[in-house]
Amino acid sequence: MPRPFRPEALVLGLSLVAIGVAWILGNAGRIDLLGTLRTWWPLTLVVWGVLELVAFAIQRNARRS
Amino acid sequence: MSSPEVIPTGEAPPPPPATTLVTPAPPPAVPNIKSPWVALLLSLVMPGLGQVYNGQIARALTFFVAFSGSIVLCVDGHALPFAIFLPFILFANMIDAYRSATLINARGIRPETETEEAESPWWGGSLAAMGVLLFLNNMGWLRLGALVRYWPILLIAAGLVLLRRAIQRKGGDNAPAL
Repeated sequence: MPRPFRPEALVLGLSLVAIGVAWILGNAGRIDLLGTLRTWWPLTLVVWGVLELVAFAIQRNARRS
Repeated sequence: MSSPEVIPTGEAPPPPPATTLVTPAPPPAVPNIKSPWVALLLSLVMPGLGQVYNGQIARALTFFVAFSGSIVLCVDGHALPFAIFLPFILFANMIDAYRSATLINARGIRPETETEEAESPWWGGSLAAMGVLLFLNNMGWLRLGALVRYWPILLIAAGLVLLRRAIQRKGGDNAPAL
């Protein structure tokens, strides 16, 4: 059974958006780009894991019904 | 551009039907085939890259984390086991990339792991847990460095996984566990 959506693709897109926003803020001098990325990058793993769990739950419900 | 123009001169034979000049060559019937050697070489360049080429993102991440984690632990003063792990991880990674590409070609479809990943909540759960731990470490609320001495837990976990697999396979087919 195919997955309802592809978490990897979503994570990649979200990561690019987040990096782009952070980079703009860094260029504007609002944040320290490298320091921010170094601190916050594990959140991509968290988001990815949660999306995988959501995909798993949707898949399981679809199989049951 | 290379189609020969037939210019009738004098009593030339009748020109061939126009369709032979217009019909394009049929597209090659090669559906998305992976080259095992490209996968192998990519995996040699960077562990996990061959798996990315094969479309197996989860495996790619696993091999990359295992490889880079072993390097970090080597540098961190645990050279004895992890320097030995490194070549094993590298070769296992290359062989996996080659075999996966061959399997994908044989099946003619996407790798099965794409659907297997979501079969179990463990994959998503472990990803999220790893992310939370690393984030807490980055924020200074947790010191993962203090856990390095407990690395043999990885060996225990690997052994437990193999044991579980062996027990599960016992009831099913008689294929070897590895």
